[in-house]
Amino acid sequence: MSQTLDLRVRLSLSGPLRPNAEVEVRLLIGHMMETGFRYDGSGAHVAKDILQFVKVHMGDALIFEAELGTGMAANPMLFFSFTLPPQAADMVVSWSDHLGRTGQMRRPVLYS
Amino acid sequence: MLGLAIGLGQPLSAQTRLSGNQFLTPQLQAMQQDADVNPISLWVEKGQTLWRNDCQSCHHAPETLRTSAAEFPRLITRNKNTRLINLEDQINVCRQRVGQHPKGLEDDDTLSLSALLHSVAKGQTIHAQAPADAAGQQRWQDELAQGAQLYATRIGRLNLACMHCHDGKVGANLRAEIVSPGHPSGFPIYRLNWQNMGSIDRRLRACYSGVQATLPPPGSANLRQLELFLKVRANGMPLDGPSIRR
Repeated sequence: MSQTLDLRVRLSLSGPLRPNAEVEVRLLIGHMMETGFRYDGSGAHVAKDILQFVKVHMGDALIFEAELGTGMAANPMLFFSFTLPPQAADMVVSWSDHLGRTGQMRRPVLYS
Repeated sequence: MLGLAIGLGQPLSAQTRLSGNQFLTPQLQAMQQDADVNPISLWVEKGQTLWRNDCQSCHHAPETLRTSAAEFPRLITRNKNTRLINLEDQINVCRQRVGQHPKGLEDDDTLSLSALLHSVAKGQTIHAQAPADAAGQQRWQDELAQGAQLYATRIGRLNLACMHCHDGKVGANLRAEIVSPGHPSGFPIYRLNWQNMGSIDRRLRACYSGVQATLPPPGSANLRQLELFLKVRANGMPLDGPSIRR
């Protein structure tokens, strides 16, 4: 069983929330994205800590996936456009870091 | 001399009292205004969670402390020892009062609570003033005079005082940056350069580093005196809430 990793995640939808409408999904993830290449002021090595995979599901469908790496700045901000399905469902953001720790966040989506 | 004159409360002309937000690019200003893409939202939301768990039972809603955030730094006396503290120090004083361990000034929890308190204080006017008692007033004036002195004292390998840039060169280019008057209305800041939130304590230490001077340790009295001077210099300006900086 992998360890859990709690992150601060903010998922927002920009656009009309109705069936078949195109929206911009904005994902803001609180993570330090430490590359493992740095040494701190005292000369000590700063351990690598990288968020590696991010996925977004809506209902059962995978709607977005990304593989991040050491080139990504801290607190990744990921935008993608997406056409909403006929049936509203929860969006689930799931992630795992380079040590295999995983977590997820669920956000309900209701059509207006 | 200029710094001292400002310290004693002479009014500044309106155009020199620009908030640091006015020196941001239009893209960064747009990012700042949209909570969905402003990374500071992550800290404010964490601050709300921490507040509900640890602070709410004594302090009620964070909005009840709205005016308080604009009044720091202030003098406190504990165990007959009077010192000047800012809001991040106050968060640690509170932690000790309820039997928790104090955390660092740049600790994520400290910055989250500071970001929350500064975000509810957005629009409050900066209001640093002397305490009511005579002894406190004398001490406060001494601290302020020290801060004004520091502001006007040349330091570092570049041999510059704060006032040489932040009074004398406002609007000029410093490499890719435009020099701002240095009014502390937007702390804590999310600095893109740091890729993290930071308190005014860290920002002032970064200034020491910028002129290649010996860095004072976090929380040192000089940094608080300088902060007091800057807050008094900015008295009457509205707080911007936690802000993005380059």
